[in-house]
Amino acid sequence: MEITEALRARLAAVGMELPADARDREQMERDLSIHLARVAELDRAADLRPEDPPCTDPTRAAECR
Amino acid sequence: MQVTSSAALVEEALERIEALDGRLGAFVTVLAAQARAEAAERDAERTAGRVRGPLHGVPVAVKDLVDVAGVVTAAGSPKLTANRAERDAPVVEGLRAAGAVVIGKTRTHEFAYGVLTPGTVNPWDETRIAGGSSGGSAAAVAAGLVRFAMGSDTAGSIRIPAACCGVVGFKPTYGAVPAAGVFPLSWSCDHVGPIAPGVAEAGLLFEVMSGVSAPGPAPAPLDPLRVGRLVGEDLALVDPAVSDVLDGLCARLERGGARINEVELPLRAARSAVATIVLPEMASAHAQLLAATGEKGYGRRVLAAIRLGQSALATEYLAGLRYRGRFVALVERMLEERDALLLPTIPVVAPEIASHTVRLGDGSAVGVQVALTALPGAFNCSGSPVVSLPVGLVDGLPVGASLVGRIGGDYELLRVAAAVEAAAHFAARPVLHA
Repeated sequence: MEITEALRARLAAVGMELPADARDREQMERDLSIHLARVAELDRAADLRPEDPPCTDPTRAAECR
Repeated sequence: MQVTSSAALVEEALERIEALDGRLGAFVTVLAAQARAEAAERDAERTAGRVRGPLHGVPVAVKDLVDVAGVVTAAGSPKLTANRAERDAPVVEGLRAAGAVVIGKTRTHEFAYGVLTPGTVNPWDETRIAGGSSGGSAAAVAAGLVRFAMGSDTAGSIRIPAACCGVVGFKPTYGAVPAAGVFPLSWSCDHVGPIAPGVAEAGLLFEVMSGVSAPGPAPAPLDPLRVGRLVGEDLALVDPAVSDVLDGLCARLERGGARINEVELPLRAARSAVATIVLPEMASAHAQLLAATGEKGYGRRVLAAIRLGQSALATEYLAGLRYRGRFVALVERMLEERDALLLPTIPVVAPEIASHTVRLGDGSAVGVQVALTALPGAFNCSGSPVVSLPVGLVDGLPVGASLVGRIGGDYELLRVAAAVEAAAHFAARPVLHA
């Protein structure tokens, strides 16, 4: 139920609704669960500081830092 | 030296495709007439003393995500069946400039977002997946339909099918091969690279695709080779039988004089970073197509990913991009004192087509895509060059080992891979009957 509400809130924030098809909704719920777990994993492991800027080109990572 | 004519090479490939591809499903388009005409041109050029380059007259297969002039780029989607490319992608231009003959386009998982490549089966066992998303290219090479094929890789899509199918897949350094004219999944994680039977062929195709010549052909001697074998919690998901194959490889390398020590990297965090980057970039890449054509024609998983990408938070996307610099620094520092890092390409052998989940070494059962991208996906965060090569069998199915090199050190890594390939002595091939 929590993940359904989380999905509903995310979609509502960008003007979308939960999919009408139950299988589509279940797919999105499963994928959102994985996504949120990954975000939490990243948050836990990364310990990002202000001196860690975003980097779209990994070959220029040294210049990003 | 006897030179086989291009016409003969193309006919041989077309005969094998005709005989086997009805079962394998590696190709979505076979350009038989065009390839024969191009082969005749290449042969005429050779007779006239003109050799375009190292692939003169050689058939090459192109993943159906890459534009080939006059041919549909469907990207594995029914939405793009009328998407005929007006011009060659620059990487295909490069192939033609080197003399290659484009023999057809290989099947991809829908929009390169997936590891199953439905419609293609594994030449080693037709009840198993070929991997993906470049599954058609890997299956075509494994079955000997072609010796050279192109793939693309956003979280393992060259290396996963290469490992599943027992061939060599090379994800070069980010940006080393131009990605223009390749339908994007994630601009900052997409890589384009070769799939081939061996390291030498993969290196040759990379040379053509990148437009940067190899500094020299000599393989790295094993004696001073320094390899960091990745271990730790994130490797606990590897099936013990796959780990045993890597143990055997390490033992052979050490007997040959290589120095191997154990190292750890936060692979799970880096894989997570890639996922947080891919979803919004994918949503953005699809915005125009989605607006113009609607949801119809998208598969459930792809549409879910696009919708989740549209609703992802900017802070989540930025966290992935911000972690990238940290992870790149960790990998590059580790490689200051080593020639390559070593890990299994995927934690298991090719799963059965009917499987929805995979049982991992740590006892967990997870979705096939999560399982197969867990290890390779991390190096789309770092942009490092990675070669996956077959190094053994488990239950008659190939096991792939990945070697990770320094950013920009593509040829150095290929030399290390050639040395590891020689030590591995992997000569098995799938048994296929027409």
